[in-house]
Amino acid sequence: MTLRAGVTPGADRDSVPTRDPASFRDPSGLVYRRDGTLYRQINQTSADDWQRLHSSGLYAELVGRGWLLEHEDAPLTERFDDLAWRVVRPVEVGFIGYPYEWTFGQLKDAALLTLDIQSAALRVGMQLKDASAYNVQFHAGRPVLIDGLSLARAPDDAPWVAYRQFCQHFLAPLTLMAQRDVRLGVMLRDFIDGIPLDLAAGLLPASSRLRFGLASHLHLHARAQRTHAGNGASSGQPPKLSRGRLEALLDSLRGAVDGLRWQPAGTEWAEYGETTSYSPAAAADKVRLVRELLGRTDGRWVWDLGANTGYFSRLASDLGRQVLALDGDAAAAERHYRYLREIGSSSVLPLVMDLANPSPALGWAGTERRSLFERANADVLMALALVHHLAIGNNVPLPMLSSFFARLGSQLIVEFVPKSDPRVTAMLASRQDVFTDYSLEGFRAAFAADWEAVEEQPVTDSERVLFLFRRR
Amino acid sequence: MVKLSLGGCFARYDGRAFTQSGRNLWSSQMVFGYIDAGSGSMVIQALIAAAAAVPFFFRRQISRVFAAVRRDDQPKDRARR
Repeated sequence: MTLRAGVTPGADRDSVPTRDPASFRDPSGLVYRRDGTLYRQINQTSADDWQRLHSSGLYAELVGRGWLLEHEDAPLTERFDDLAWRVVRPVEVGFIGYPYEWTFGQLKDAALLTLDIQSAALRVGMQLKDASAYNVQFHAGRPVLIDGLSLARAPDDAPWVAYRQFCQHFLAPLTLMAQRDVRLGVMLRDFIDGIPLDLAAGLLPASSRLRFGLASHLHLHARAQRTHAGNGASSGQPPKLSRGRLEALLDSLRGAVDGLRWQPAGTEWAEYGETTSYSPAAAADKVRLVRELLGRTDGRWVWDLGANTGYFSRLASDLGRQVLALDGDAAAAERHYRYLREIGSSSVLPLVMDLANPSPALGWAGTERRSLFERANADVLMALALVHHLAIGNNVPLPMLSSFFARLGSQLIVEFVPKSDPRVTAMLASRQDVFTDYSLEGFRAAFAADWEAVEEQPVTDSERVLFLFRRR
Repeated sequence: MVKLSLGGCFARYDGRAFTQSGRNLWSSQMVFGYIDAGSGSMVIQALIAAAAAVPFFFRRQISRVFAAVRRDDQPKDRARR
């Protein structure tokens, strides 16, 4: 959903631009679409900062390093309103993911990128005036800053205005994930401007106070916030901070972030790839069939639902597709991300997503951060060894599962796993079997409402069946 | 009342709040952005930066010395080869 422009659009154009619903906090410009094209407007008030970004060589350096999203100039006639000084067309990110959907490693890499950019900016007398994790996206396999307007002139001897935001958006969630429980990353869903430091400090183990970086940037910081709360103007002018000390602060933050470690192991799904119950013949046949079925689909984007550590995502990637790999298990998704980073993959984006509770629309007016459905761009969905987890593990009736998939994509490769399969038998071992419709016939009937079956293939040496569907 | 001196940056902790003194601590420039920097965050940032500066500059000096030594050694190595 997009918001209509609230002011007079560029007088030279008839088409009405629509503001990106997340682009409203910073008065120095905005992001919008006109006739389907993405634009960024730089307002007159930010002309100096924008010129300095380019004349200082910082833009070229950051783009050259792959740290900042590139843009090209667009005619001023494409402006959103008359506050415009310049209009640019940024490169579009394939899929917008949010920090509460990132793995631990993704959030950590985004944090380190933010600090690297701040250091580079300081060298030319500029700074990141905000350090929102939402200004970072994963593009072509790497984190990249998408908001060039975040870079502004740094007043002499001024502290970093985005220090608080950095600690709330990055350091607090990363520390909670590393030192308490990785699942606490989902707190970023509720705390849209980062996790309050007093809350993080209260949840962290006492041992976190033994490390200088965490004791100072989180615990002491939380205390200082509490004691100075409401001071406002009465606290006087901000403290003076030399460039050398700012560098020391950034170095300290980098050390604190870099020192946070988490090993993705021990969960059921992180180990699943190695302990799967397929026979070698069945596993090989499934790979062959999925590759064949993928070859019969068209479109650029494949969503691998329940991707685990990404074996089948890479199969799609090898066929030249862009892949969004979703899995609810933080350890499996983290292992997937680390592998992709190691091989330098640019075509697969892993995200943590519980499909039984997918990301809702969040933020201001419920439109600032879009739901998974609002971001659906899948040409092909893969749901391999997933249906039984949703249908039996989460009691989702098969017709509801069918319509769920139909909201996300128009082609579907799906695997049906019958009750006689050892994994389903294990799921039913400690509960009443209330799933009377859960059978191959019931599956075909339920999915026929939304999908046309193109192909049905049994997997050799197993009772599993693969389907290729097209949405009706 | 505890008075801290960290690299020339003075701060007092009176049990409730950090306060600062020293004329050189305060800038008359407008440094705030469009987000709330937080007064507590600004104060603690200055203190942490002052504390972190000591080992930071020490490490930097050491690495400069090592870099200089390496530079001095390189021509000799080449000459030996």
